[in-house]
Amino acid sequence: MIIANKKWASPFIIWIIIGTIIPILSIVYYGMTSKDGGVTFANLGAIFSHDNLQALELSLLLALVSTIICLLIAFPMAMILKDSKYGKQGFLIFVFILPMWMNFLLRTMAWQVLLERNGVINSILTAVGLPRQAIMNTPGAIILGMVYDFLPFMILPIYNVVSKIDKHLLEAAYDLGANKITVFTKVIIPLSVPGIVSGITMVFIPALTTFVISNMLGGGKINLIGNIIEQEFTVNSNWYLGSGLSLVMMVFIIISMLLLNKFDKTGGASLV
Amino acid sequence: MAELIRLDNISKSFGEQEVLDELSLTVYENEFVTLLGPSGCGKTTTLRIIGGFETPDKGRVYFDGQDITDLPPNQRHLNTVFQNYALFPHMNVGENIAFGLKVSGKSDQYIKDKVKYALNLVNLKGFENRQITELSGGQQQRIAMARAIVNEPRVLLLDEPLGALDLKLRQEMQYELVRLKKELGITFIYVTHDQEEALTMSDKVVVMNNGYIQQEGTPEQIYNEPENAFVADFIGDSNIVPGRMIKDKLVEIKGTEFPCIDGSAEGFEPGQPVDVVIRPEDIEIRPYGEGLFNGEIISKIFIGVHYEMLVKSEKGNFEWLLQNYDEHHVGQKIGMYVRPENIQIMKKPEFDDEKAMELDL
Repeated sequence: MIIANKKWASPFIIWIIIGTIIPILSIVYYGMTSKDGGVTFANLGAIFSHDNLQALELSLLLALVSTIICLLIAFPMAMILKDSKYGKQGFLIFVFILPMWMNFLLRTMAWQVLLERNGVINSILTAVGLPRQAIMNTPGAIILGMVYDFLPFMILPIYNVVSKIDKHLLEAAYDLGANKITVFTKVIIPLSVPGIVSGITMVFIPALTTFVISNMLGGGKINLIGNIIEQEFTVNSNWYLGSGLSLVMMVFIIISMLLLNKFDKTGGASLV
Repeated sequence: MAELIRLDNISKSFGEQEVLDELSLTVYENEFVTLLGPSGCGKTTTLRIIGGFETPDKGRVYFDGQDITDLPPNQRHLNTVFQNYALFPHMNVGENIAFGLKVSGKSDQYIKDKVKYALNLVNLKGFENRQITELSGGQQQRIAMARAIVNEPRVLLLDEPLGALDLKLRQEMQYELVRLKKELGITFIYVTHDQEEALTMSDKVVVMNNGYIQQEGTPEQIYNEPENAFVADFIGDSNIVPGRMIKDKLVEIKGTEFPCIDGSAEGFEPGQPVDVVIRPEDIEIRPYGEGLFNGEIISKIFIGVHYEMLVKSEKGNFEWLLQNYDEHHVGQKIGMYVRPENIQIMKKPEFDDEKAMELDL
């Protein structure tokens, strides 16, 4: 195979070294050293401080909730998209992918305009005589933003596996006496696990580490672990602490990936 | 034999394409029925209508006297062995076989015994914990059978179950299927395009083409007394020749008169144009001038048990296909004889679907 040829692989190896290995090594270096240059574990241990732990807990909670909401919306959606009764499958899928083509900062900003105190939603509410709602700067607004931004990443992998399930398998299940619910729980869901796992991966991890969505829809009042790391790098210029916390998050993510992959026996969709 | 399944005037179209046109068929209890025909003849659609996976546009399906036309597949007392086996890839062999029993809420002990019994029956003892991907095609085929029969269906539907297997395995599985059917004592409805499979296993063969039943009968009837050119051509090699009735029990083919056993009693009147089928093994070789007609051998191949020859007749210049155990040489002039009972007279086709298939060679 021509791809296996080392000559051809070298640009990619260089790319991996510059783009992945060097940055990770420097994060490890900064994370394990103190400002005066000595080796320390204090940057890693900083995760246990009250504020950081609270931010981590909130991050985990919000990421978890938005992942579950995404999953609950995406699975029925994928089933509908797959069903050939809705003939214009291509068009429906297109509609769902369309937002992905727009910069996600723009999409998040759009929600800002919608949710603000004097934003579109509140204008409509007051116009019909309902009280203003304080949606902006709440965890709810952040979850809304996460779900809106990440939903396509849940739908697509699930749609992919669901649409590839052999229709004869479903017929075989009906043939053996199963009703619709049993076919769904015993055949469709188990066969969709690879898609569910990669969907969860693609939603949970970005949601866990986001700082943009929480900045824009949380108004700086809600600190997620992503915000804290960002502030260490930008506001406090403390690369050592920022790297230390990043390392801890990386470990977190790797552990959650390993746990997730336990469910995916085929290993087909694993990202680790 | 009691009637078990009756299809009554079934029509089915997919979009513009008419697949079945007013098809009626009765299947009796404990019968091995084979639906035989080329691809696109409607045999699989017929099976899927019986299984409940398709609803006919017109007509009714009766099972044991009850109208089941609108009953979903999971409420029908029959099980299907699918063409591609459709084994659940996320379950092991034992779980696959147990699926139907679990759905119907049988006890764990019953399921365990039944799975063991079924694996025994298909000669795969101790395969409970194997993964589906570890199995060969033939083994998957057996598991698919086992998964269907543990539910004790009254009818087993088989959709080209041997299609994906190689020749040797296919022949073995034919015996296996006949044995299974005997042991289970249930009705088999089998779909195939392979005429050999149909002839070796069935009690009744239903030959289909273009959505119509061309002929229904025992394998012997189908082979020896094909009703039209399509059936004669589809079932084995044959010489299909236009002819004309001279008088009762005498037919003229390519300038030669042949005594036969069909005549006015079968509805063939003197002077009527007919099609005649003569199987290649039924043309006997005699010394030159001593048969009914003469010809010259123009090609010869050895195909195992016998030789197959093309013989050009002196009269009519027609190339006859012959099969013979004895070797003859290309260029040799021979006489040929056909016994009256081996001449099968058929009516000329009235419809396209009754004509012999044109093969692109």
